[in-house]
Amino acid sequence: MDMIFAAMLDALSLTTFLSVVLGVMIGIVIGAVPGLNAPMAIAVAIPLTFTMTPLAAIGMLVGVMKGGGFGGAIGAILLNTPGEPHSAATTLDGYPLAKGGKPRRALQTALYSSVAGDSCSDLVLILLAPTLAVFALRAGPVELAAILVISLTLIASLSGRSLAKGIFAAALGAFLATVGVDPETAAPRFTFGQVELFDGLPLAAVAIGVLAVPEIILRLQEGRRYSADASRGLANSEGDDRLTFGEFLTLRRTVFRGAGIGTAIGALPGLGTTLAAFLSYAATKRFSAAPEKLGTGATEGIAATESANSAVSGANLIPLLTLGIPGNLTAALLVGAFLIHGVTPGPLIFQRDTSLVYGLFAAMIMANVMVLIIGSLGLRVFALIVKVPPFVIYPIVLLLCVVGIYVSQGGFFAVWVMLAFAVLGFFMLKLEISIVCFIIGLVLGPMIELSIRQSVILLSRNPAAILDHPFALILFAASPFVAWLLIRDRNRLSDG
Amino acid sequence: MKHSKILALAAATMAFAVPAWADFPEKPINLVVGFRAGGGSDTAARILAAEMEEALGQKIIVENRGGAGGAVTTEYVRAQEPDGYSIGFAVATTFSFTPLTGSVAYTPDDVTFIATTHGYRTVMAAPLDAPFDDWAGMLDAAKERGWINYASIIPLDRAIMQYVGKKEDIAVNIVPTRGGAGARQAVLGGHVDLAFSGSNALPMMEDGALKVVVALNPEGIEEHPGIPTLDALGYGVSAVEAAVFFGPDDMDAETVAKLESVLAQAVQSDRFKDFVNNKFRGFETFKTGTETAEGIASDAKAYRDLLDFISE
Amino acid sequence: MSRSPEGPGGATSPGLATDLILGIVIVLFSLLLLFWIIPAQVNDAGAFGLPPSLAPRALAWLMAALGAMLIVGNLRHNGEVDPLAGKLSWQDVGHLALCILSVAFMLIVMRLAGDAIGRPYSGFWIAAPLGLIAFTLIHTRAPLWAYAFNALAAPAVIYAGFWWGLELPLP
Repeated sequence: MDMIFAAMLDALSLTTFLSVVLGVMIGIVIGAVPGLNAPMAIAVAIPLTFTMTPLAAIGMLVGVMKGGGFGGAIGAILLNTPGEPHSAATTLDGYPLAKGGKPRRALQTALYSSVAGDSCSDLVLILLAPTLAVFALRAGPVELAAILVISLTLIASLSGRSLAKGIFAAALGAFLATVGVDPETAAPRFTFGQVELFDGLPLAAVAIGVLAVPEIILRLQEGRRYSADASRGLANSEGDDRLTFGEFLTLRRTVFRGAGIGTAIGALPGLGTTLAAFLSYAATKRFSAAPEKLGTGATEGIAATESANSAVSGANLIPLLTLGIPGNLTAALLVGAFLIHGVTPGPLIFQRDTSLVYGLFAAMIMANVMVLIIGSLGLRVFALIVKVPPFVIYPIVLLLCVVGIYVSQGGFFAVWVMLAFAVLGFFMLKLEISIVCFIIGLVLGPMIELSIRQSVILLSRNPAAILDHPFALILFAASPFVAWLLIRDRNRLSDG
Repeated sequence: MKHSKILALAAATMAFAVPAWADFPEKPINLVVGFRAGGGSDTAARILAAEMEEALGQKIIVENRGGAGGAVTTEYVRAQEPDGYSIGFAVATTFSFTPLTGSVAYTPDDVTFIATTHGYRTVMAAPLDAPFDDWAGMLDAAKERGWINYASIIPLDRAIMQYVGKKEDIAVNIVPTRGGAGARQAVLGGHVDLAFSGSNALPMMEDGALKVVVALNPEGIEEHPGIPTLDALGYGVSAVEAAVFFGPDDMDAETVAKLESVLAQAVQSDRFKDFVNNKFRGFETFKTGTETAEGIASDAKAYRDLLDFISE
Repeated sequence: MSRSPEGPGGATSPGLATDLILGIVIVLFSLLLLFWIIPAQVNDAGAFGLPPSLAPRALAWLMAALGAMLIVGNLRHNGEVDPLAGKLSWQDVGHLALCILSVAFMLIVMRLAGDAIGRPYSGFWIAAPLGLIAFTLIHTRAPLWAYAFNALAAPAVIYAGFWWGLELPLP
């Protein structure tokens, strides 16, 4: 224990502090730019760390990761431009709230929930990492398939006014996610001979295309329709839009629920941030006192998704450090960067690299505090974005989407993909087909497909082995019951 | 340490020995990396790019065009002008194996190879509680039960395991995974009996988290001589993987020679050596463009035979 | 540039609910997938577990079924007011096409100019101001300073941030 504190105190040097601060700032700024995201921020930051001491480098990258998480929320809330699919969940309530004249309130909710969720999961990581990692490993393809199926059932309650259209959107998303090289036969599916499609559709390009670009197109159209509005900012009203600490405390149940869901999903490798964000949102909708307000700019919705998102990023480090298994793209980049700086993941990491690992923990705590401080200061500046006249902001954001997708997703091809999905998104928006369900299908579809196919192969020679997976069987059995419950309660939940 | 400096010096002198190369490069060079930013391959490329920048006195603009194991970059680079200002970074199997699958339009003859800068090491790993400790034990266990569950990552490792299965007459139950993380998870959790892995399985083995039963690269694992190679076990197959710099077809020989010599010098830098040996855990190797092309041609032939044998 | 604001109802065909048309489109799309695109673009050879075409086929059938549900559901409620009436007009589609085409034009110019000059950001410097002016024109009612700001200051800031700050190349 003494050693741990010594190592943590060691980390509290000025260099580490400064590199964490720099990392957080890089993360927030890059994460907030439309088209860029947290993985991009990490990729940009890695070469910068080559010449740093290992501890400073790790501190900076952790700062970038956490700053990038919050930065993503800024873009999602103010401009409806989610950099990663999981930020799409934050746009659900964040963008309406910001548009409704309360950008600061929305950003503050996101910031506080994000830091709270992150801190909770960091605490779990620091206290329980090795035990939890071993436990999490017991979840194989069969268990993952079961968890995904029941999660999808739960999330189906987000399908909007028409259940049929919501399921259609999810099916279309899942269908489009099958584009690319088939993981089993290595033969391409729906690639039409395009090598660029072999690894599937570029997710960020699809998310920006389907969510952000149609919104920008609509706003550009408004310029012609309502002359009086044209000179006004995005926000319709001003006045006091701050979130007091007391108000934030009323969200504590939502935040803790989000943190719990995020931590659990982050610790289980192979599930990912998007699932956590939408599960937390669906759960909040289920248990909320005013479920009809969710989706129209409720702070509850922002708190649910941001706490879960950020909790995943801390908990992700559990499988990452002890098993070398990254939980999402950001973590995958982080594990590569850790290797460069001499942190080799493995079950003995706590004995082998004690000072680095506890230094990393100290850096994480520091980064949480810095995100809170820098984020709070930055809020005032960021919230001003909504005051910029629409004829300035929307053309520039459209260009930024193009440029951001070009550099982060690999060239013109991804930009064309974004443009094609903008057309789809525009029609979906007009015809009230849930874009959120589409994104959920796009992200979860391939995970479900792969885990089911893996399970079938694993059990093919010995089908009786399914009895060795009681947890999965219970979840599978419960799914129809959950679906029935949700359909029964639909009227209460979905009136929006 | 000293040795490497002398080598670097020798390479540097070689670079200045022939005056005809003097003109190239006159402007920044685009280096297109076939993998996404931030990964191990990208890091190696960026370290080399920084060294090249110093040696050439021109900026190297690193751009990532990841996808399809380097095939996206190959398609992009081969459509550029062969003037030496657009070069690519991919791996040997991008050229030796991927074209055999019939899903890409290029062949190894459609590019100019510049150099091979370092090698990758790959292994097959088993869970700690597997009922065997080595290759022979694995075969026995598989024969006794009638099948073996194997987590595959790329088509090449799958082909090799199918080849082994056919030779040994064991049923290989191939579990596809997406990327290294999925296979790692399957083997650590004991959900499969055997899994393909990159060199990142080595530190896990050293920590006592899994067993490594065989190496797939012909060089073997230097620091663990107890791990046999598939080649040494008498199968005559291996997975040859290395980092390859290349350019569009018909590049000027002098330009290639200049880039080649700069890379020969760059791989001798302490920073790069440390990265390859201690961080990336690959191995040092350097091949000129011609050697690279020859190696890829012979690898391609071996893989062709391997695929023919499986599909027989 | 400015057109008159559209009236309620827009150009949606009267009598037919929008969702009914949507259902028909979905069913046709699913059938197209099932009988043409899936067989042509997915190769099941070499599969040892579930075939690669299973998930796409299942999803296409699901979409077809949901489309059929939409058709049936809206046939019955023909008397009611279409909840989507006036949501999507030809004017909207025109505006969408205008926006998409101007982005597409900007991309093509950027690529051609970038290839021709071959220096980082040369294509960007030619195409981005044009694109921004076009986007601002589409919005209409922007003062002159906004055109100048968008065409010059914005690309300059992006150039400084992306190229000097992050060293990310653009054509």
